[in-house]
Amino acid sequence: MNQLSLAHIEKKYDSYVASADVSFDIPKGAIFGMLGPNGAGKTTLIRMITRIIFPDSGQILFSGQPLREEHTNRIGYMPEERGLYKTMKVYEHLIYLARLKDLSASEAMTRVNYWMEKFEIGEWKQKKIEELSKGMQQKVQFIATVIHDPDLLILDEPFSGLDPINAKLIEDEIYDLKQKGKTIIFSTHRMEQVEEICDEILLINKGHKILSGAVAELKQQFKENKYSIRYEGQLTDGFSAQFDMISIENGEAIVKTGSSDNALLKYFIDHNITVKGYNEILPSLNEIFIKAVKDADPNTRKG
Amino acid sequence: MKKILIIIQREYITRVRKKAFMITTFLAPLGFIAFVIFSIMMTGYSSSNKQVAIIDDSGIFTSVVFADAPDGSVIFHKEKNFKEVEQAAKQPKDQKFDAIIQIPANYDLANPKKININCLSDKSMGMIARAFINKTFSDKVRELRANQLHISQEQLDDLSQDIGLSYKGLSEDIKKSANATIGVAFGYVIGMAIYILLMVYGTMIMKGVTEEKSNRIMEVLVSSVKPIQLMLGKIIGIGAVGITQFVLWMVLMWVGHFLIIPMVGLQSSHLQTMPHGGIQGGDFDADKIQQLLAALHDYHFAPLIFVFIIFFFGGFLLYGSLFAAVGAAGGDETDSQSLTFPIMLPIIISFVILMNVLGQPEGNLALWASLIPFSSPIIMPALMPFNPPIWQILLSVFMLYGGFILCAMLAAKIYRTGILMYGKKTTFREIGRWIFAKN
Repeated sequence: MNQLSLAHIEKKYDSYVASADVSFDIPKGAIFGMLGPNGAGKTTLIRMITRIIFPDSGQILFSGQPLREEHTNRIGYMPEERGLYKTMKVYEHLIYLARLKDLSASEAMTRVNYWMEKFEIGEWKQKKIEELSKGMQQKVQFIATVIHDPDLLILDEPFSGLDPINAKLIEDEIYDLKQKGKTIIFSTHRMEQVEEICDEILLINKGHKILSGAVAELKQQFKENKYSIRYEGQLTDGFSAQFDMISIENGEAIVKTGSSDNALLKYFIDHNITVKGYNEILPSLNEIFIKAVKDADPNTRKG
Repeated sequence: MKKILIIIQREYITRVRKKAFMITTFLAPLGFIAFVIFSIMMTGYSSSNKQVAIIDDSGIFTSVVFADAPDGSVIFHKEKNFKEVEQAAKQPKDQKFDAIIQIPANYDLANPKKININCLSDKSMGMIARAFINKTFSDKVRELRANQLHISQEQLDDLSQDIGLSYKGLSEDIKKSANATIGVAFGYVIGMAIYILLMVYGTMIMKGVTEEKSNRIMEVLVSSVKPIQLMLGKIIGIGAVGITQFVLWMVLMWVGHFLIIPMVGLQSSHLQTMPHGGIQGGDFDADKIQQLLAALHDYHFAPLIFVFIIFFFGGFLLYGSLFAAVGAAGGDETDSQSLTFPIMLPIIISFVILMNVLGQPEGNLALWASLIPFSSPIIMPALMPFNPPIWQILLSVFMLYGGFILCAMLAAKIYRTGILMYGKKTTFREIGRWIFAKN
């Protein structure tokens, strides 16, 4: 079951293409990374999912139904450009945002109390937003995003400007929500940040989808049979003839093998060299992205 | 719909709770009332206990007793020697008298001339004190003269009654002209009030939108509500603040008129008991003021306030949506200011037309200006004291609210695009493109 499914989404601003025939699915309960450099069209896609703007063509399905107005109550969105009313009191502000998601006044109060206690900012209820530290404001912002218990959580550059403690807090919270079956979309240009968090990703560039899929599968797909081996002893001269050596340094060799069989290990065993460590080097999302963009763009291919 | 109500609620409550709102709503009219009362006090009772010396060189008034004012504001003293009194008055430390009345030796009751009153104190004589002294002397002179001519007290009363009757004939005319004066004054005050409210609260909407943009809360909000809901919620919420303020002002004025009218009314009735021409040199006419006050009192305020609210709200919605659009289009405050001008202009022009229209409330300009949605919020309520035909009012209301719907649709397009634009200077050409863009 897909929480969200986009098919052939097109969006143009005048002559500028923000989204060109983008299609992808987000399975229920997945942590989904929407990755790409600045200006790739991530925010445009998000705004179409949150019904802030509308696609020129294409279809968006939410839990299998065409996306409608009332679905916005089941989506929590933390935009990249985020802020709060500076002069409003924390408690009132959270109640207000909760009520705009169609929570009743009493329900909103219960949940605001719960989250404020959970994030240990209970004693700040009657303070104005502007009196809060940056970190606390970010907590409030996050509470506002999850207060209505959304099925789909969209976080645009969630870690930008976040201190490590709050980043960890939010990361833990995200795993928690995943456990409860919620779907989370991460949008960021800093791919290394979400590499371990995401189950599935979408890579986009200049409004075009580059690729999408499960992170583990993509890594397999883009791997170059690179291995790293740490050893104790001396390599024979024949080693560099037998294997495509990338680097060798401080008792660690990185080599590329034609196949993924154990030829490399066999060499070490045959030559009686102690192996301390052996592992496959999978490409990082960054590397995958760069490679995929190069493959997709005819302008860069010639170079 | 429910979400709009929540937005209206927030916009309304956060503003009404502000100290600035309390101050402008309660202190401004109180200050105004205090000012009016203070000026009445200043002219009316500039100071009490005026000591007046009467030096009767003619000897006519020897047997006459001059009664002091019942409230003690004027106290008469009969003195003999002018020189002595004058000398005494020159000693600043020992100012025994505030004024000296010298009745010349050749004073002739049959041919009474004006008597000089020399004011000695630095504080000038108040209007009431002067009127009282005048009345006392006129009465005494009349009494003595009547005695001389052997006219009985009844005959004298009879004469006064005649005068009283002629007053009544006059007062109907005064009442009519008083109504016309009130019409123009009211029209002006109403037009002015709407003009100010549009400017103040329109700017408030614009600032509110700019604030949401620069606070970066806009995108959080529009993921929960439609931009049009956000825009209308803000306009209606702030409009309600304006109406609240206006209604409170009206209530305060109503309460205030109970405070002011007795003060003015008491004095004018006090003055009216004097014979005609009793006050000389005073630049206000007691009767006229009392008639104006009476007309004001009899005025039917309820329909006026009702029409005022309908037009203020309509005009506010219309201009408010434009102000909101400008707030959304402008990136920062200076940006917005240059974009505001085309909206301010029709408001200012309407105000200029208002001046003209009050002179000719039945003219063509008045008719057109009361129908065109951009000027009708200011002109139509201002014309209300002149009893315009009902079709004109209804057509004007219809066109105003129709104009609002068109403006709101246009503004919503600008608003929806503008609120998500950052760091780019917005030009009119760009706004034009937003209006014609689909979605």
